Amino acid sequence: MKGLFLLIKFSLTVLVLGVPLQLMAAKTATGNAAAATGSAAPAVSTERYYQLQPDLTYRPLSHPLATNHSFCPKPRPDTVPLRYHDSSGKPLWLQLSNESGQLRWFGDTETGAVVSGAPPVALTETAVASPLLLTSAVPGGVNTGVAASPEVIWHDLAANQYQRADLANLHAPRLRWRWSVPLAQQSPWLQTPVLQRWQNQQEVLLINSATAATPRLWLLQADSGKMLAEFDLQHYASGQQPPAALGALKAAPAALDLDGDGAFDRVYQIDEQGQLLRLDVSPDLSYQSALVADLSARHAVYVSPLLVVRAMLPGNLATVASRPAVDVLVLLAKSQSQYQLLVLFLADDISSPLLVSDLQQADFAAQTQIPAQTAPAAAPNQFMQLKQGRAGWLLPLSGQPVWQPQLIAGVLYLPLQSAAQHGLLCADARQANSLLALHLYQATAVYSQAELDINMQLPLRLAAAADGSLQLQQSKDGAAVLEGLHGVSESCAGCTEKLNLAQLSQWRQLAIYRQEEVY
Amino acid sequence: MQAKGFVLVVCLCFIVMVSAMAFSALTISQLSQRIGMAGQLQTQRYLSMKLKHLQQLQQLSAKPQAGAGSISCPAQLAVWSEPQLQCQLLQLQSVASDPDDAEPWGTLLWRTDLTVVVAGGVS
Repeated sequence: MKGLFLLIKFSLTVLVLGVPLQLMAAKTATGNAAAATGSAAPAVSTERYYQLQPDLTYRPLSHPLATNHSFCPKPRPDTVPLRYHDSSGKPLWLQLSNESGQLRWFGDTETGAVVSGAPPVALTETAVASPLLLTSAVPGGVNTGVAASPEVIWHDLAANQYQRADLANLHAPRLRWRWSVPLAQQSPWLQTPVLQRWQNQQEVLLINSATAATPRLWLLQADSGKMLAEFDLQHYASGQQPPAALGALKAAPAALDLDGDGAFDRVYQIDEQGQLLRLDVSPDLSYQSALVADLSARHAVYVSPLLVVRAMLPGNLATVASRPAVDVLVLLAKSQSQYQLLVLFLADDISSPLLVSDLQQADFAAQTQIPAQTAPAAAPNQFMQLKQGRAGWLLPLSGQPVWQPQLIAGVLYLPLQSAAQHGLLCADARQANSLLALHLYQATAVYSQAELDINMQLPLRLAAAADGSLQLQQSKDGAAVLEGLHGVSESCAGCTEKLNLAQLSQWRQLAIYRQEEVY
Repeated sequence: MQAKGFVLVVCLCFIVMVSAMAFSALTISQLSQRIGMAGQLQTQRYLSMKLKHLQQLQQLSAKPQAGAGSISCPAQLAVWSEPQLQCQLLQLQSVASDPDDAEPWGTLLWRTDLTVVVAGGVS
């Protein structure tokens, strides 16, 4: 009897405690599932959708077309937030993203999306590109936030066309032009248009064809969408017999203005396999192309936008080129799950393409700890033993790059995210765990470590403190990420110095001369 | 009588000749002095115009000049990636106020213009 009573009591205890525990467990499981798929939930309910009408205006849609529910519900850091004033003087902010070819914006008043006529094509993985945000009055110097008439140029992947729209009135976006890519794409690839200046100060777009069969570069007038030129890149001076075939051009190109006339005259292109082309473009739109680097032996994929700058090499690297001014290219490559950072120093008079074997492995940089403002950072003479006319270094990265590399006074910054956070949807584009900061020419640490362990939310912005020193901040809340930024110094090969705004924003004398009258 | 007259004429001629030589010597020295002064004056005007031009350079506003053309920044060691650092090219010319002034001076300038936000601002 006593045993029966104990059995009943035990059963009641199990029932009383077990049910809530089961409920809690179920709730926790649901919560985890929600957390795991929380980002994958449909975007916020206030999101508006617009469809292009025959009169080239966008009208609100009561029922959006089929949209990709894996879109990030928060602003991606694809563009830096723009602060501007509307016609009534009300301050507003605007941030854009382009996921899978669908333009979305995030602002003070509402969240919006411009959808194409057909649902976005099915993609194997999330495709992201940077829309171009243009304003009619971008302030110079200190960003006071006074801008007007924001316009955007983006790649609509579903229709495979580029469009420019006026977003001054977010309730009624207005299409200014659209341009259809003249070639059919076997596999869709979302691209970032590149804005450059051409002759007579006109702005042009550089657009790649992402197809391997017909590698093309198109030049479009940014104002009208009219095509100015089409460059066929299939045949180039490679120095090889027979010339290697160029692959798909998926990385956004980069351009340089070498003579300072306000028009670009050099373009760099890299195909998916790593063949780097240089195009020297004349004012009459004729061009010469040459293969300047062949990095295809690494079996890496090159799809990230190129970054190119014109730089003066320091004295210890003077043997790299016959002239101190070279083109510095910063590339990101992915080999299986490993990301790599490559920096190439390309002289004007390269006779044969740069190869992977010409690059210096700089994997020690992540472990090197060099205090700031010390000279020379890490035995630069031992590091850069490079061939005449070609040089560079590569660095395997410890995580995934989540922002384009930025050069600030000769120091290369790259936010990285550890592999542990890769699986989180949307977080991969907004959060970084560490910041890589390297001397551009030596690949050595500029601060306490080459890879600084800093949790940050992207995008970042450059800000000036009250004393004129520069710092990197989170755009969202102005929280400091890295204070007291340093820049490369000319005093020695590995030296750095603290940057100050007053020293950077000033007039510098190039030449003084007498104006003699000619009779 | 004729001999005395001849001597008188010769003396007169000698006096005239010496006077002419002395006058020409004085004239030449005066001319050379003037020429020397002209050179000095030209140097003075040259320096004054240069000084005026340099003073204008010092008075140049630290702010970006409206209408100055934006260019790609020249190659430098501490290189920046655009669009963080923009450059402007400016040609500054002095204007001669007097037609007799020396030729004016000109200067080719470029300005680095860093786009930053002020601390504490939120974009």
